[in-house]
Amino acid sequence: MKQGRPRNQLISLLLLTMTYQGELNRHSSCRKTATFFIILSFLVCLIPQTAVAQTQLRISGATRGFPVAVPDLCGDQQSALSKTVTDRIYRNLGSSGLFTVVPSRTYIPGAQKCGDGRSITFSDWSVIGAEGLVTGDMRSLGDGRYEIEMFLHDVLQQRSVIGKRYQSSDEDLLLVADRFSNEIVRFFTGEQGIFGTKLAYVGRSGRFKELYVMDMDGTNNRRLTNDKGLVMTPSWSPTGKRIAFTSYKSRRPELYTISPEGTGQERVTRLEGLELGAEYSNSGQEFLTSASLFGVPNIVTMNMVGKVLRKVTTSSAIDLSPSYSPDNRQVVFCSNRSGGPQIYITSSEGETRTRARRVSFTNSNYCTSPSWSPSGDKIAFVCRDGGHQIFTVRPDGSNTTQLTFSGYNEDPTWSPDGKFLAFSSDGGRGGPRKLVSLHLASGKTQPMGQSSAEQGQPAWSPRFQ
Amino acid sequence: MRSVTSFFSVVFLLGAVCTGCSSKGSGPDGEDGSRFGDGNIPTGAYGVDGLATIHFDYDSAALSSTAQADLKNNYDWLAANEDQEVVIEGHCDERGTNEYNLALGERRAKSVESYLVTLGISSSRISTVSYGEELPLDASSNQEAWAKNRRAHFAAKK
Repeated sequence: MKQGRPRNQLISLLLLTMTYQGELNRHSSCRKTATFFIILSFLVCLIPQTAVAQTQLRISGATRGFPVAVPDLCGDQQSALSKTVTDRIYRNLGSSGLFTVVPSRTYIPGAQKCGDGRSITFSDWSVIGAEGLVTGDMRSLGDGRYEIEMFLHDVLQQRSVIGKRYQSSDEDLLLVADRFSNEIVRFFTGEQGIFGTKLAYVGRSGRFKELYVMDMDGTNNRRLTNDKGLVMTPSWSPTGKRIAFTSYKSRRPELYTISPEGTGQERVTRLEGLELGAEYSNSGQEFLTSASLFGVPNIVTMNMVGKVLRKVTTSSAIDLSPSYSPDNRQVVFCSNRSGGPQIYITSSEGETRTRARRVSFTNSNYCTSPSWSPSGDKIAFVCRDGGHQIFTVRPDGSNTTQLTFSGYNEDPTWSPDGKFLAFSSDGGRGGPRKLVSLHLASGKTQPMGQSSAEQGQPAWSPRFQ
Repeated sequence: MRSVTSFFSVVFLLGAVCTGCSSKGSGPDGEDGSRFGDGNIPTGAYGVDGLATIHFDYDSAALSSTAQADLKNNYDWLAANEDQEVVIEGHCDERGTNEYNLALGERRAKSVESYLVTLGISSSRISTVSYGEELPLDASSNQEAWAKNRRAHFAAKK
């Protein structure tokens, strides 16, 4: 790509030199014409190469993803284990909104060459429409450990553009697949991918509601609590090592934290009244929560042992569902201070310093559940509008955009890269709510959970370090 | 003889320990936990005879004139039964989001508590809890069911 330019310039120089040394010397008119064309080709070479930009343009086009083939890995491994890796990469890339995975049934038999001295026949892949090709090798190191080499090839350029080597136990193969998928995303977009992130959510367990965690593709679904009451409003710490949530374990709503593995459940509050929805600050040492300390739920900040540090809102109205801006300087929240609930922004220092400013301007008189995007430029929220619909707005209140149009859609949560929203939805058909994700750039929704039970109040984890 | 005594001592002790640790019934401070069944949220029918359930308008924690009349009767009963402590539960219908309804249920329970305290009931006899839309009396999706579910309900604390 960029390397093409010096090569063409060199050729032009050689031609120029040859012209003056060679037989064209004898014919001045030929020499002038030749010189003209050589200088022209030299100048043409100065025009910037566009091969890289073309790849990026294809990626950002909303309708068609960059087509990638993901054949089986080579190596001495049982195909079931190495298929774990390729299946995960296949699913990751397909769900990312950036790529289209070329289906394996179209792969030419024998195109995937393994063994000594193998080289890739790129035309076998370009002929089925692949422009990217993922290949790899998985070798056993003994003791249940494996070495995995992964490559991404540019099929049209006929060369590899990413090469990575990993060592892993058989339990961590999905991590390898997620990390390599993130490298692919970083190559194309410049930003680390979000594969390997998880969702915490509230799931029904008989007559109770408990805390669950699943991978973002719906796998590894696990119940974390056995509180036999109601669990509400989970949220992740900045490192992803703790999940905070409200639970009725003690027969009153109190705040707890727990690890994503379901261990170390700790009680944070022992306060009269409701504490709902603990949002961690960037330091991981403070929460924003809605606490009804004096009969009315207001937004406060609290430390990790439940001591109230600061009142953020002080109205006599219901104030709840706080969400920090990425720099933690501001808080967006829901309040019914002007009648029906609407969305407001105030300084995290408290609204006695800066009056809260309304940012929800739809036709609805019932808007709740705000969530500030990690990229800082949008706030998602829910308004009642023939059902419940998801909207986004800029923090200054401009550019209100409706994202769903039918059924009941609630509790939006942002992916760490700000490109996806997950929320609970009845799909416009009524019935139990399930988790879905929406890719904002393309508008594509897909289901996230594989559970048949009701799922709600999702919280998308940060990227794990 | 001694082994028989030891045996019965052990049985007696076990029995005492088990009775004291009965999980179904009492909660902390000897609270009446029978309405919780096998978990930590109430189930089935429960209440306090003589204390009417208070009803609310949609999206509101305000006490209508009917509600106030009911509460005055409830006050009379509580004044006559000074030993009875109560938990006021706030509930909502299914419309609206779960989180907002939890806060609205809290406002409803607090609103009722505040009215009774103003009339003269000691606040130490009352505690409140909200269950939002999570424990409907009637799970149907119609106006009648919704009206039943928008309530503040009295449960026996002890």
